Amino acid sequence: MSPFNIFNRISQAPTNPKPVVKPRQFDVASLYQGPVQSGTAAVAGEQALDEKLRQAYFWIVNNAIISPHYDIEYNEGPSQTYAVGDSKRTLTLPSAQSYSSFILLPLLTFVTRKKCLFVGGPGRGKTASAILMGVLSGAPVRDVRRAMQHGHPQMTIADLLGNPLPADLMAAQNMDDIRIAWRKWLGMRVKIVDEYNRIPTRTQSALLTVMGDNYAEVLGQIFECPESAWYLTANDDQGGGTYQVIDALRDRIDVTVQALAFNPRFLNDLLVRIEENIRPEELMPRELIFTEEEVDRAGEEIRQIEVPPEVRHRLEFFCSQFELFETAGAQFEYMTKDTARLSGMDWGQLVAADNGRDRLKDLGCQTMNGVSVRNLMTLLIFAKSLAYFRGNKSVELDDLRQVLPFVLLDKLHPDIDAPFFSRPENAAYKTDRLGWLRRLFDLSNDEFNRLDLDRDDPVGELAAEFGQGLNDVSERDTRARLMRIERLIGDRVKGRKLYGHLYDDLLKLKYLHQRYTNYLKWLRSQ
Amino acid sequence: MIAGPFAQVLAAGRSQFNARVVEARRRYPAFDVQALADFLQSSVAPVMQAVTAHMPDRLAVIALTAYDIALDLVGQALTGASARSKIVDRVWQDLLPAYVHVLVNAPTEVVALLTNAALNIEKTSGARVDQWLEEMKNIAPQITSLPALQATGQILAWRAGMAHFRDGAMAIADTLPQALLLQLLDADSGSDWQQIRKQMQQDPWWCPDTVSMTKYSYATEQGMTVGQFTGFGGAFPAPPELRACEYGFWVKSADRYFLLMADVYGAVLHPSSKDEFEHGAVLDTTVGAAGVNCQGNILQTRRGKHVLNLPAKELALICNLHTVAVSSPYTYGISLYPL
Repeated sequence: MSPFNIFNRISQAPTNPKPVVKPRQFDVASLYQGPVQSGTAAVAGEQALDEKLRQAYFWIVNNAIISPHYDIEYNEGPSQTYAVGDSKRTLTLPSAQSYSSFILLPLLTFVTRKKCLFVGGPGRGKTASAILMGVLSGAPVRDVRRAMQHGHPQMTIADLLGNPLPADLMAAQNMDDIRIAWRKWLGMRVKIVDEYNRIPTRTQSALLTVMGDNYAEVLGQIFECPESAWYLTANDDQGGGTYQVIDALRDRIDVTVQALAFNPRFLNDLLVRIEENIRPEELMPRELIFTEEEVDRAGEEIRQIEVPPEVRHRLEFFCSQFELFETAGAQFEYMTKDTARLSGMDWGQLVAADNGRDRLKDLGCQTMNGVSVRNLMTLLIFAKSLAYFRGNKSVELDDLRQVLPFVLLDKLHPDIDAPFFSRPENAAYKTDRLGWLRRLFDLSNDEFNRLDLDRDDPVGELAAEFGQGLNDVSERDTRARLMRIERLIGDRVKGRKLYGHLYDDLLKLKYLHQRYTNYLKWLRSQ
Repeated sequence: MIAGPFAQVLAAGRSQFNARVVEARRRYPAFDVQALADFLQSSVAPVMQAVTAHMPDRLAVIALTAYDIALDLVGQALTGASARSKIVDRVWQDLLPAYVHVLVNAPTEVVALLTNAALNIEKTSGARVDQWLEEMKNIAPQITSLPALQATGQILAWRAGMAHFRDGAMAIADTLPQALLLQLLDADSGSDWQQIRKQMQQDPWWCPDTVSMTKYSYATEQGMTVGQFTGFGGAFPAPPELRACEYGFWVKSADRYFLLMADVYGAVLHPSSKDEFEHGAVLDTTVGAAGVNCQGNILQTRRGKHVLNLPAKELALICNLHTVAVSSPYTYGISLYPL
């Protein structure tokens, strides 16, 4: 490789070195490795895909994106912080390798084949970033551009998916004879829909089928799309395009990334790019291209990343905060925000009826809904992929903390009228949803620590005991377990307010009680 | 001022050479054009003079190669006013002209090989880059091929204190003619390499060159000292702790970890990890079994007595198969003595 292929330099050093205990091997040939490329360097062995992913990230950060914002912060030991301005906002200088969400989340989307929405004002690089992801899949820049769907108010289903061949329409005796000229983008491994909120509602429904079920249908003909990563852009996340985005389509989006403003301090870099007529997407090094098999393999490796119980428990605790709506249901299981929403009753009225709890402290009062199963699955896969990207074998709490806001940004809706938002120190969270979600997770962790659930979790212990199976559990033991469950429920409900996590604990205990009851009945029948 | 055939090559390809500078400035925002001019004049020109004298028809091609590499070196601040050292300039001024007979056939490889090797040796704490440069220059007339140059550079790097290259260098030594090899090791011309090799494998503190043995190793009473306080440019922020292992010693100093490797030619510290220090394979050679005895501050090994310049209190003696390492809470250095 010529040392002067501009933009073609990739980090040769490990991008996130980790200490590994392995037999020491010193290769005398390393004497000749260094800054000067000899052109006779030995061909490197098969590269680890997480390292390749990091190389792609750093290439984009260092070459393609001019002013990255390091908003995904990691620390090893104390970090330097400054209180800035009258509002005393904190500027942190992270003490460990930190990342730019605008590049990292799309990359994780690429490697997990999920769906990413870029939001932000015009000219912030949303489309450019999506195109880079398309190029990363190995498609030529020209094909990526041509395959990009531009939302517009006149967009029809035929524009989006394809047309029946006119000759077949005339000659066909039945529907099966009509061939469809499918649009080329349906076969791409990276699909880009620009300004998706300008697509008419009916066409959005067709898009939903492709996004949700991975096939397209026109006149009864089916096109099965390959597994692909999706990138959508919207100038205004709040539906400020021509059409309101249908909820189901919104719900299919896995992560939402905000394109932040350009820092004019980097204007010189922009100037060089203009003067030299450089388009980074046209200069992506071939070594960074991910083949389909590599993405498959990376996806497989990501799924193998462990989520340790201590991290999982905190996520369980966080999610359990939000679904409870005590006054919404007469039956215990239906005391949920979903019940309230489905009833069509006025939200304000329902909230006003909910009293007795500390509405400032109860995290559940800050939201208008709970966390769905789809959101949880997305959260877990992105936490795993972030851990993978960082070269770890298991998810750390910080990984979860960092991806959570981007996954739940458009999913967990704040109740802006909640007392939490009326406090002056929390006013900024009304507009900064990412910051609010991160704060919400931190508050949940504080509560988890206060309750000492890491060490004292009797519900978890009962669940673990049940998880060992019922083989050879005697009638006497079963009765003892049932007694413990009943006693625990009695303790839990004694003179205490009902909070989200307690509600979920009680439902879990009810589940366990029911399973043991059924088992007891079966035992007696033997 | 660059003159002669090299100046003519530069003038003939002026637009091309200027375009390359523009590209380099784009790649390296802090690119120092003056440093490039200085490097071309003081370091590239001597190489080009040697090329002109040896094989003038290769000058244009080699000039282009050298120019590209020079841009890279200047861009990475490895030469010029902001460079950490003058090692690159010394390689280009002294060593490359000496190897011009190899360079004309493989310019990129030879330049990269010698420049990278010098930089690697220089940044290895405990290695002696001056010795390597001198010995490489002295042996140059006898090196006629790129493989021989590679092997020679590696063997001399080992002799210059890169103890971790010991096994690799001995393996590659077999590819060289015996006469050249004996010369590289400063052994008697009548010696047998296989015999030397066998002896060196048995005892890392033996070498056929008695001068080296005296100069670098156990002949001094203080032994071979490694480390020193970070405040004085050393590697240890606190008095080190050691554990013996097959490669040498795992070393812990405050929150930093190292692997210490040593032989007759020198000792080097490599970065290590807490995991390696705590969980890496260790040797449990006892001081008694290794024939080491310490009375007060007198260290007795099978090879002789050494007066330790340390308080006798809390001395720590750790032995591996060939070496005893002495550390103390009262020093940041580690003293090594052969068993």
